[in-house]
Amino acid sequence: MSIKGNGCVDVGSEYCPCYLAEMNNCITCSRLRGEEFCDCNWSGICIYNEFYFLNNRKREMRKHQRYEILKRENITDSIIIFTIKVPHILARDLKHPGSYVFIRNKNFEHYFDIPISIMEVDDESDQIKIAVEVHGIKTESIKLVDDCLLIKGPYWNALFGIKLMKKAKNINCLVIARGIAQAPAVLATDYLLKNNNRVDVIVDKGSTNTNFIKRYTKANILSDKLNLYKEEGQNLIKSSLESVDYSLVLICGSNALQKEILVHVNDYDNLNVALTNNKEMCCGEGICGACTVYDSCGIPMRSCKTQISCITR
Amino acid sequence: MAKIIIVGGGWAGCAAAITAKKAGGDVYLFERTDMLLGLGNVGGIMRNNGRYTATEEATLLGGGELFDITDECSRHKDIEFPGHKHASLYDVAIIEPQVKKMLQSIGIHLSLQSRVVDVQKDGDKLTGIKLHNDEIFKGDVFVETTGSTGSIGNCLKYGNGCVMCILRCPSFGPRVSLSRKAGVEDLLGRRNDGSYGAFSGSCKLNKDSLSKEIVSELNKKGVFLVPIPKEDINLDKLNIKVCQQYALKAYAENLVLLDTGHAKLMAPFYPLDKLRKLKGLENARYEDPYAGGRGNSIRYLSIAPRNNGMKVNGISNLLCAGEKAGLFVGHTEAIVTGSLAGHNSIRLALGMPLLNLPRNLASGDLIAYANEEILKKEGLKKRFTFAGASYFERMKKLNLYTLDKKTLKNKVESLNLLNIYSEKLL
Repeated sequence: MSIKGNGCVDVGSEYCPCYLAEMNNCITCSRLRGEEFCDCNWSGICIYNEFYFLNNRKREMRKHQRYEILKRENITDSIIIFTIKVPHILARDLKHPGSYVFIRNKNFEHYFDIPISIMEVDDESDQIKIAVEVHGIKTESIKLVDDCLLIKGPYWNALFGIKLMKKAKNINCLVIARGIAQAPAVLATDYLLKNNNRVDVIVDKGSTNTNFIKRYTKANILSDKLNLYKEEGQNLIKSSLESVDYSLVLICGSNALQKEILVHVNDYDNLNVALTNNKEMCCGEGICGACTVYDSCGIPMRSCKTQISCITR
Repeated sequence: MAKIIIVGGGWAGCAAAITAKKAGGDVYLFERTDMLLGLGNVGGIMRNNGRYTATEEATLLGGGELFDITDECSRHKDIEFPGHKHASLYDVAIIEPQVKKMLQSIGIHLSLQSRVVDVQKDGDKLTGIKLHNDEIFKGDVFVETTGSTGSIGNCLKYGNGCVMCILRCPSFGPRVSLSRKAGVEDLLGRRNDGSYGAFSGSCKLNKDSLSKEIVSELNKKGVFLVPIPKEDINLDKLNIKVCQQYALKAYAENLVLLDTGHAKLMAPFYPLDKLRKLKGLENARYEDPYAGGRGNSIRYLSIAPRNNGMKVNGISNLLCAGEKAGLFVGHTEAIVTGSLAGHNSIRLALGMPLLNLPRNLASGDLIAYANEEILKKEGLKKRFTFAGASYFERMKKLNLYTLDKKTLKNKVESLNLLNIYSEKLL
């Protein structure tokens, strides 16, 4: 599998141009990378022009805000689902598949920021749901939160292949999700269903022991009993792909799982693939480098902002 | 059949499509906006000075279709304005559909709103182009006529920003230099002060916003001159424009208006408050949404090095024409170079030697002369047009300028080039 950059997820948004433009590292604009001439593939309003009209400064960046926790459900010993009240505009911004935010316990420093996928958004009551699996220092601190969370967002690059998801209308989609990666799959599945797609889902509950897809969406569950790393799970994926003419597959799970499943997907020429972005993220702004991946030419890309196409064939 | 891919639907691309089709190609033309002709939708000046000769030459060579249309669509014929004789002004509001119909009638495949963003290459040969939607389109020979104007970043860096010109980059996306994508460095035009690029030389006023007297004179004669108050005369402005043939003192001392359907104002831009001080222009406004009070599009930032058969150096099956091919100004120059590139695309596909127009034709000399000059540092500051500036002087000196159609016909005939573009090679 080779990968290549496919544009900045923030381009043209209210957070563009960003620090990267100020520091001559814009993902999209060649001029804002210090080159002499225009050489971009962005057909929205020129980022360089926007930057100029901001007096060569970036736009205001996302800030941490304190938001009220409306509900806290301890699904298992290690899984907590938070329902959080947010401003209407944030709820709206987080409806897109691949949306995520940074969350933090207000009593801790900024390096306790955790990137968390949005699982569900209700933009009428302006509530969002997130699922947190406690398994390390940062997530341990979330166990200790009281009535509110610090949230920084919206961010959008939790999935690669967002354009494919947005384009999907009246097609057959297969969603394969394991463990806590079901959370982004819930939001994406809901989005695909709203666009009149048939969505079949294969769930591997993993350590969560929970079928989030069933709990939060109306998608057709093909199975939630199998281990996708084992032959039985792999066989179900294979037979599902054989029996239905799917146009899009969304794989929500670890890189190892993605690799196993892509072997089957590669047999189909007209099958588009979207994947969860599993890189570690710390700042979300393309600065810190925690999320760096390398394209097939060895050029580093910040995956917190760069959409990435996976060429599997 | 050879599959010829033309990228850029301005005058040069349309001309190339026609000659490639006539020579026997299967021709596909890609244009990023929703209209053909590009800047031809706001220009309109034909047959002035040496362009008359070039037009007649092109017709004799067998490439007269587009000139027939510009003649048919002319609002004014044989008019004079400062420094220019026997000009025609075509109506920019009606011409594009005529050209489109013509191209479709001879079986050229048109793809509008199809922005080409990259090329595919095998060694020194192009194999295909990539569209904005990642679609790949394969071909045998490619002609790049993407021009040299924009995109917004260039217009900002070297001009006064996007003024929402007819190319409408904010809506249709930026122009991409395909020769550069293929690994050939672009040449860049310069201004007299050495800075890069040049402003488009005219802008368009809404005719209804001008006084009755101006409108009636424009409709009758095609031209109207308004003296500019002394304090507002700005000779420096002549240096920044593309069209050196209109960079005459008379254009600094007068507001020169031409009737091309709109009132074409022969200045790169003119602040609205100053414009409205002039008699008859008290209520003037630019054609919506053009911000002609602020600036204009910036050109000449993307010229491909080429030979005199219009083939791009370093790529075996890529030709170019129009502003992509040199510091050319004008529709006539675009059509002349486009016709040659289109014809040569078939020769290239067949492995035949490319046609070079002889230098005793004005069009042949312009193509070769521009190529010699662009290699010189000072040459990057020149503009090449049959209509004026240094090249028209050269035409006169070399006796290439004539209005006598019979002499021209004899010349083209004796060169054995009569109707060469009409010959089917494939």
